[in-house]
Amino acid sequence: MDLSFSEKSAWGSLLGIAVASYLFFPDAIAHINEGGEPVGLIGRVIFIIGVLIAVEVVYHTLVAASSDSTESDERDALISLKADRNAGYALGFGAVWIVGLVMLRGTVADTNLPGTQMVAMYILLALTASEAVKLMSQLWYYRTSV
Amino acid sequence: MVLSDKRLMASTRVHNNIRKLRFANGEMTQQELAKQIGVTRQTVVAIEKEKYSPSLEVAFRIAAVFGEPLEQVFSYQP
Repeated sequence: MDLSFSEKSAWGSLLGIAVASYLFFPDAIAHINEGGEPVGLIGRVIFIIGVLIAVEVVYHTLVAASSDSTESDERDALISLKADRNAGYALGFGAVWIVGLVMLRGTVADTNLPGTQMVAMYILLALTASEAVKLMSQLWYYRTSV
Repeated sequence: MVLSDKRLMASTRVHNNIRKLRFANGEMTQQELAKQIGVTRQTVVAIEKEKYSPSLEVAFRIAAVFGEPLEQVFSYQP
């Protein structure tokens, strides 16, 4: 497959986010559900973000070294704009979902509704999901028409 | 915006003769053309396959590389 630097970059970032999310969210949500304090997650967050940044830097350096050019052009810019728009939709959907949960907490006597700490986790999840939507959109537009 | 995205998904309505013109001009490679017009080779591939309609500026640059008027390189079918 003939991939530009921008496309390879998007694949690497998407894979990185997927692995980091897999390593963080299931355990973090279980931790909070068991009554643990969010401060107990700080070490894990710092470690995962640190490893993610290091891996991404190495990956992008290697990809840049093997690519004809790392410069972007008007098609890259258009694809990036459309992907940002889709990420905005995803983030908006997540925000409405979280606001809905918070509003229900005040009106419905349902102990299964999330507490403040879990709401913070959902916000982090929505931000991560919107970034994933952005990267997947980019990859989609690179392989189809734009 | 969403409607235009769907319309453009299959292919663009802007057609071109870039592939023929490249071969008529000393079998110019896509990489050489990309370098001359200031875009990536993948963008030239997308333009040739009519999966991407270039900006007017890039279209003029392509025509200038081949020394042809714009309408000899690109055509539009509504």
